[in-house]
Parts: sequence; structure tokens; C-alpha cells
Amino acid sequence: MLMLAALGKGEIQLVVTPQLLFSVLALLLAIWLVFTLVIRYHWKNYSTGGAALFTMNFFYLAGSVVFIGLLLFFLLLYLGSTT
Amino acid sequence: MIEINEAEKILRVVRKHWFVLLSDIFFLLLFIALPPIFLIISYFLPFESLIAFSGNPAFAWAFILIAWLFLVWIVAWNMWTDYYLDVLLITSQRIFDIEQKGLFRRVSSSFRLDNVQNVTVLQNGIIQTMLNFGTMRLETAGEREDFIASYIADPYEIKKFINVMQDREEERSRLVHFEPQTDSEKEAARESAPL
Repeated sequence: MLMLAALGKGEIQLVVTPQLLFSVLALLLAIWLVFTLVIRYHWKNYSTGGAALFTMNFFYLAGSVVFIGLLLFFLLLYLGSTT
Repeated sequence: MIEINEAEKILRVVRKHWFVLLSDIFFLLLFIALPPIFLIISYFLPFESLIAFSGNPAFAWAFILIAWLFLVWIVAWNMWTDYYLDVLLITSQRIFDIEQKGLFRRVSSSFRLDNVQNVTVLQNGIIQTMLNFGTMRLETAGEREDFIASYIADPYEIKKFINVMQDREEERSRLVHFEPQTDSEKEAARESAPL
């Protein structure tokens, strides 16, 4: 309750620093890495294989690389704009 | 790690109809729509007093938006994997029912084709009839529970396929194997063998 009251009065302020965004990125990368290991294990061992497996791997990894690249790009831009 | 024998061949892989994925897609669209909704709400809330940026806020918001979409991307692949690994496999000898529930729960059961006693297809409602999907119940010999494959695509065609495979298996089991003993019998067997 005290915290909510403080938030309402504007006494608590979250400062978004590049360090904070780097921590978010590190957490996301850890989640992604664990998830990637798990689903690729599933695909490799439990799927019926073939071209579908290759396509899935390709799209998953390509999409992930794009997302990670964009995250890094905006993080670096933010870091550059920090006063 | 699908437990099939070396002599066994996968003849058909049956998955659920794409319509099943629609509920997942709606869920994902809702997740994608959350940032714009949040943006609209933020106009009515005093965010400037709650969050401060040490750099250009546009870059930070872009980062947060992409981070959110990256999480949605991971959830989407989880949903897809759940759908993709949920299969009914028809091999030359058996039928496998593999049910993937999340990433860490998997149920795999199988029974021989010659154990199938009855195949029932149930299509319920206009959507299932129009889009041609439904539930298939496989009754097997013995006291074990029936196999129920829900929301599978083209169930009548699969039923027909199982019936054909069953007939073939039955015919094969009735065949009497003749082993030629004398030279003349071996010669006759060679001549009658298909090229």
C-alpha cells in the first residue's frame, strides 16, 4: 500500500538506463537459449523428420537472429543517445 | 525416438486440422495487440513521473516493443511445436498415437493394425463438416481403452486408408509360405516370382 501510494505521488521513479536494457537483453537471451535447446531436442528426436524439420529450423533461427539483431541495434542507439 | 521397428515403414502422418491452430493464433494476436493498447492507456496515466529515460525514449520504447515481440515469437514456436508433435502415425504394422502436452509431457501409445476392430468417425457441427475435420475413434480388441484422435483433418479418408491397410495386413497373415525343396520346385518358384 505504501508503495502504491508512493507511486501515485510520483516519489518512485524507474530510470531506464542502458545497463537496465542490457540486463533485459541478457535475460531474454538466456530464455531464448534454453528454449532453443529444448525445442530443437524435441524436433530432432520426436518429429518425423524430412524437409519440414529443415524449414522449421531455418525460419526459427533466422527469425530469432533478426529479433536479437534489432534488440542490439536499438540498445546501441539508446546507449549512443545517453547523456 | 518414435519407437518403430526397422522393418516398419511410416505410411501416413496425421495431424490435427489447422483450425485447431486458430485459437492459438487469436491468443498470439492479442499478445501482439497489447503494446498499442498499452500506448493508448499510457496517454491517460502520468508515465513521465514514473519512468525516466537517460537517453532518447524512442529508442528505449523500440527496444521494449521488440523485446515483447521476441517473447511472443518464442511463445508462438512453443505453440507450433505442441501442434506439430501431436500426431497419429500409421505404419505398415501399427498405429501410434503421440500426444504432446507442452514441452515436457508426452504420451505415446500404439497398437497393431490387426487389433483394430472398428473405426468410427464423428463430425460435429457446421464448421467440422465444411472444413472436413473431426474425431476418429478406434476400437481395439481386448480390454484396453479406445483410441480417440480429435480434430484430425480429412477423417473419412484416413478411415478408408486404415481399412485398406487392415485388409492388406489380414491378407498377409493368411498367406501360406511355401519353401521350395526340390530343384524343379525352386525353378517353378523362380518363374512365378514377380520381376
